[in-house]
Amino acid sequence: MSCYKNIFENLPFPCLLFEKKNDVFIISEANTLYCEVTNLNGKELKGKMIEEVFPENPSSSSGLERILKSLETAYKNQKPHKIKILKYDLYNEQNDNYIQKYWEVENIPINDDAKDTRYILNVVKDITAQILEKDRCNMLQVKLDDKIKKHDQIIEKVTDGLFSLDREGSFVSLNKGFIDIAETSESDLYKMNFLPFCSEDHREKILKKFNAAIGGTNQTFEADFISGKGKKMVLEISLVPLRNSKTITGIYGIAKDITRLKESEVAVYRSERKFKALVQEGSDLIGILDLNGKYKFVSETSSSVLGISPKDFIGKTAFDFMHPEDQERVIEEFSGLEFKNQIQIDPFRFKNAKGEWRWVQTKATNLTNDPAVGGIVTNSRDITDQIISQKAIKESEERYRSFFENSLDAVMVTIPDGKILAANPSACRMFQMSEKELCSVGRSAVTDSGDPRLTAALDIRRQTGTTSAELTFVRKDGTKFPGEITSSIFKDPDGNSRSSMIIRDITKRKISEKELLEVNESLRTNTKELIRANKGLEQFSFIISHNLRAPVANILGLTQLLIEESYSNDMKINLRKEVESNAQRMDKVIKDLNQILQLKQDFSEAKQAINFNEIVQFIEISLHDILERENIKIVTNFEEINQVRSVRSFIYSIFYNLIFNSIKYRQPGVDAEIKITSKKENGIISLIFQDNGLGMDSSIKKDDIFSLYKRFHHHIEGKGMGLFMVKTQVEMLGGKINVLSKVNCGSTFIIKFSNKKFKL
Amino acid sequence: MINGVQHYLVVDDDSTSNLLCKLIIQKFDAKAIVASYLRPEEALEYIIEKYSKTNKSIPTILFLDVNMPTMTGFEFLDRFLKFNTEIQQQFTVYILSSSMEDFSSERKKYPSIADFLSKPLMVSHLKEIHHQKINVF
Repeated sequence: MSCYKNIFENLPFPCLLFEKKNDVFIISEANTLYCEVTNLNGKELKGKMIEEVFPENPSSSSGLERILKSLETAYKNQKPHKIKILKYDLYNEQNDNYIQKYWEVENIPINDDAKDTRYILNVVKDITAQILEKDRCNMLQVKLDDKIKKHDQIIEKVTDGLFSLDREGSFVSLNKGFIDIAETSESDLYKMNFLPFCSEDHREKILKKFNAAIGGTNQTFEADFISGKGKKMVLEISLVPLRNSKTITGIYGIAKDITRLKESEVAVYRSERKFKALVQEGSDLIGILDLNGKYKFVSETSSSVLGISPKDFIGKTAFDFMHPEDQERVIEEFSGLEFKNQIQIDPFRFKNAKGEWRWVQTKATNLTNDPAVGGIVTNSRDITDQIISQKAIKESEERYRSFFENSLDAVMVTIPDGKILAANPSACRMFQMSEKELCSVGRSAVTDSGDPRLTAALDIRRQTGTTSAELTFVRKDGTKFPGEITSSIFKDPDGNSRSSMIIRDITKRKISEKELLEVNESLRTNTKELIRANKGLEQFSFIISHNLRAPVANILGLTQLLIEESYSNDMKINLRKEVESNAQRMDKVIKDLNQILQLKQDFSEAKQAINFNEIVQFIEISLHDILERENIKIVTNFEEINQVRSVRSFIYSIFYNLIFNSIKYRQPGVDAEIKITSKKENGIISLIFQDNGLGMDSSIKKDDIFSLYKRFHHHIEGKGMGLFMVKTQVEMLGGKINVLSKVNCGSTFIIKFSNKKFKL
Repeated sequence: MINGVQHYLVVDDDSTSNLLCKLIIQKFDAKAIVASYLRPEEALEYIIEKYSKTNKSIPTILFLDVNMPTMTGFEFLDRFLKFNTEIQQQFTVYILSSSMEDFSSERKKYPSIADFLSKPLMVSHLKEIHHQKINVF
């Protein structure tokens, strides 16, 4: 035994010797190496069960069971039993943890014939390092496999085209992405090189790039290509030379379709252009200023808007261009940008190249924090024209307001249906109401509804939009007055129908119009007189031509005879008498003319009360002799009216001439009777002179009866002066004379005056 | 000019004028026969009476005034021109007026008027009338 014991102690493997006692394997011996490996000594191990010496790791059990089973198997079968890999962690007392351990275990049955005792030699080999390395390798393999798998997927899935070419440019490998881009089947591609896909314009350029890559330098470029189906596209190509040790065997390439990108780049470029155009060519002036108002950038529009080129602004301060009166305010407003991102600066005056002040409105945006701008962006607009027109509007509004407030006419704004919306002070004065009262009572309270011109005026306004009329208006106290109104319908800015009413009190004008009418009336009378005077002048020329010329011609003829001829004395006396009588005739005419001219002077005599009876009495006295001698009777009837107020000499002359006319043309052998009657009827005063004289055929000679020097009878000397005088005087007094006459039946002269001409 | 006697008829309401006419005519032609009327109505009656009953033509020069009270010279002519032509043909009508009026419209209206003379009648007027008559015939 001691011999075996020696061998056992020195075995090159850690060994334990188990003895089965009471069906339990107990450690009977442990060799030196085992003690070394387990850091235990033999005494501690001896007589113990394995689990007592090596507490099992609770987290990875089954190791103990496998050992016990292997011991049992070896003992039972009397054959060695081996466990190739056994995980059995060792407890570390110091750290109170388990150290992972893998073992190769072999249980060998040993028979001690002498004692008839059977032992199990337990040989263990620590294979932890081997196992762990193997595990690591397995893990790596799995990972690698996974990576390869993923990589393949990526290559297949990427939309970019991946490809490799040989030195001749023929395709060696490619992914699905490339097939999609090329729009050509995989099998076809393997038979081709890249050239058919190059656009004609870029073929040379692409070839150059390929050659450069083959030459050993990486290439990245954009070029136009055409797909297998003829689609035009822009590809971004990266070419990397494929090196096999030191020689370049081909090219690895990536093709990226950037057609869309290009399109969007173009779009971006265009929109940039648009923006640029806006900045450069718009009517707005765009500037970028620093916080102190110094220009960093000014758009090209400054040339067209202000006549100042953009470069002349750079480095200058905006405020220096401003009107001194506006400067302070604008600086203050501008400083607001420290707290606000955007401000609107009220219009200010800005000097242009000509030194004129232009009104400018500016919106300023603080973009100092935007690295792309780094300043305050100002959008300015020249609103001078706008300001001027606004001023004009304001002025005109001011004018209208002033007109409204100060007009002497009443001005009201109404709704066409009659509601008053506004009334000026003159309207208030005119209608004795406050504006408030006027607004509440409306048009109907100030107009006279009984005035028929009102509806007519409103009708015209409705039809034509405007009307002017004279209407009766009513004050608050109910008194009425004449007014002239001008009214027009217009639309207010909101499109509502409104009407303006401008009313003028024309009471005074009406009075003066009345006066004017009277003046006109008197003017008309004067005109009539002038016409009469003109008629008189015609008569005058007639008188000169005939009634003066006739006696003159006679005298001329007579004197010739007296000088040249030797007539008898009697004859000569006779001729001289003729000369004398013609001279007297001439004198009479001249006197008559004087009398006519005198009429005008008499007319200006003051009017006075005249009694018809008195006049007749005077005439009877002056004609006493002939009335007595010829037994002529004058019968008067002035019961209706005996007294008038007029020009005395005229009335006298009218009565005298008419009476004398009746006497002159009385019927021989008949007692003459002259009837004079006055009548007053409907404001008309009539004087009727009726005789029983010769009468005239008035139907034939009516117009001539009153003409100067007209006679209708041969036996009576006379020149018709009387009736001419009567007619002239009647007309000068504003009356009319008419005659009714029949041969041998007498004449009736009727004189009519309107009552107005004779104030009693 | 039968028997070499020239007849004259003067119609004028102015008696002086009539006297003058008679004296001047007689001075020009002592054998002349002058009839004068103050009233035109009477003159017309005289014409009808004297100039229509005879078979012989009585060449007569008529001096007619314009402004007369009951009938103007032209109204006289209106009636005269209604007489038969045998009567009318015996007259040569002259208007003799003191008026300085322009009778141009009447001149057109009455072409039968030989001439318009202005008063007073002179021997020279008669000489010219006589001269014209000779030229006409």
